[in-house]
Amino acid sequence: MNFLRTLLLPLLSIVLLMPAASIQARVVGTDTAILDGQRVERIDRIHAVLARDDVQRAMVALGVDATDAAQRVAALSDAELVALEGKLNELPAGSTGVIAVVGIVAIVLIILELVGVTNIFTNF
Amino acid sequence: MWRLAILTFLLAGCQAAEVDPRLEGDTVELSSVPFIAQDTDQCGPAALATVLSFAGASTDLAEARGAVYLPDRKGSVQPEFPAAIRRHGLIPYALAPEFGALRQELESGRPVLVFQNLGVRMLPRWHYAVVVGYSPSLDHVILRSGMHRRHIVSRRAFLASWKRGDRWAYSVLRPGEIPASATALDYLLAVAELERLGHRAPALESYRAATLRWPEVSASWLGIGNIHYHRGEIGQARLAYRRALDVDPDDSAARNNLAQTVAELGCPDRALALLEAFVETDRAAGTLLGETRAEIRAMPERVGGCEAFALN
Repeated sequence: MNFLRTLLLPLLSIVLLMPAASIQARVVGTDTAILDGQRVERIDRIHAVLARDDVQRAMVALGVDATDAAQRVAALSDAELVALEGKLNELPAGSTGVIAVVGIVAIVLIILELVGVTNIFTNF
Repeated sequence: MWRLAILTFLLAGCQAAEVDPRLEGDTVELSSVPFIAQDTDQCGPAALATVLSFAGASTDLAEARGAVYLPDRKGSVQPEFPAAIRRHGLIPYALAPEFGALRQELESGRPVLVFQNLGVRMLPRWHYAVVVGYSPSLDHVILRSGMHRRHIVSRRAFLASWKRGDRWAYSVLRPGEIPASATALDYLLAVAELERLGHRAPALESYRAATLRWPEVSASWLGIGNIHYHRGEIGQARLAYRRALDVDPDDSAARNNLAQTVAELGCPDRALALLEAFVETDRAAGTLLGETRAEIRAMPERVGGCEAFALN
C-alpha cells in the first residue's frame, strides 16, 4: 500500500497538474461554484483520488465485492468520502444483531425496555 | 431530604430537556410504501430498498445489500446511503434534524429514511427504518421497521431513539421534487452531486424546479447552463448563464462560463468585454477570469459569430 502510494502520488500529480487538455471543459462546475461561494474547504483532487482508493480497499477488506466497492466509492461526494475515510470500522453500523449482556446491565436494560425508553429486546 | 434532593435533580433534568415537538394536523399514513422485511442485520438495505422503490427505482433487497452492506461489520454506515440513492438518479436530501421537517415530508407524500439508536448511548443498538406516517390524535409514529410492516411507536419513544441517532433523516426526491423545508444551498448541492455523477436529465429537471422555487438564486441557472454545455448545446448553455448573471451580476462562475460560451460561439471580443472589468476588481475570482481571458484571446473570431449577440 505504501509503495503504491509512493508510486502513485508523483504520477497523479503529473496527470492532475497538467494544463487542461483541449477536451476538458473550461466552464466552472456547479458544485465548485456553490461550494466556493460558501467558502467550504474542498479536498484537493489528489487527496480525493487517494481517499477513494483507501475507502474502496477498506470496503473490500470488510467483505464487500470488489466491483460493488468500486461503484459505491464512485458515487460518494467529497463530504461523504471524508466521513468514511479511515472510519469504516468505527462508524455506527446499523444492524439488528443480538446484544450479549449480563447481570446488572441486563436488569437495568429490562427496566428501560419495560418503561418504554428502549427497544433493545424487541425483535426487529 | 435526600429524596427531595434527588427529586429536584430529576425534575431539573426534565425541565432542561428539550421540549418534544407536539404532533399537529391530520393523521398521515403512506400505505403504498412497500414493505421489505428483514430479520437479521439487513435493516439498512431493507430501509434503503423501501424508500428507493417508493420513489420509482427498480431495486430489491439484494441490490441494496450490494450498495450499502458491510459484511464484516454486519451492518451499514450512514454516509453510504446518499451515494446509493444517487446511483439511481434520485436526489438524497438530508432533512433538518427536527420533527417538523420530517412531518412536512410525510405531508408531501414522501416517506423518510431514519437512523435510530434503539438502545442507550452506552450500549447502542443502531437501526435504520422508514417513517411512513404519524397520528396526532393517537400520538404515535408509524414505521416500516425490521419484520414489522406497520410498526407503531409512541411519539415520545420514537423521538428519543431518533435523537440518539443524531436525528439523521433522508428524503429520496424524484427529479424536480423539493422538500417544503429545503434550503437552496442544500438542495442545489444535492443536485450538483447528481450532475457530477453524470445523471444529467434528472439534474436538469431539478435545477429548473429550483429556479421557480428560488428565483433569486443564480446557481440553479448555472447548473442548467453547465448541463447544456456538457451536452454540447452551447447556445442553450449561453442563455442559461445569461439568466444566472441577470439574477446575480456578481456570480463570477456564471460570468466566466458565459464568456466561455460566447467565445466558443465565435465572438471572442464580446466574451472579453464580459471579463475585462472583473479580472481587475474581483480579487477572489480574478485568477479564474484571467485564465479564461487568456484562453479566449487565443481563440479565432468566426465570421458572423458576433451577429447572433447583437440584441443581448
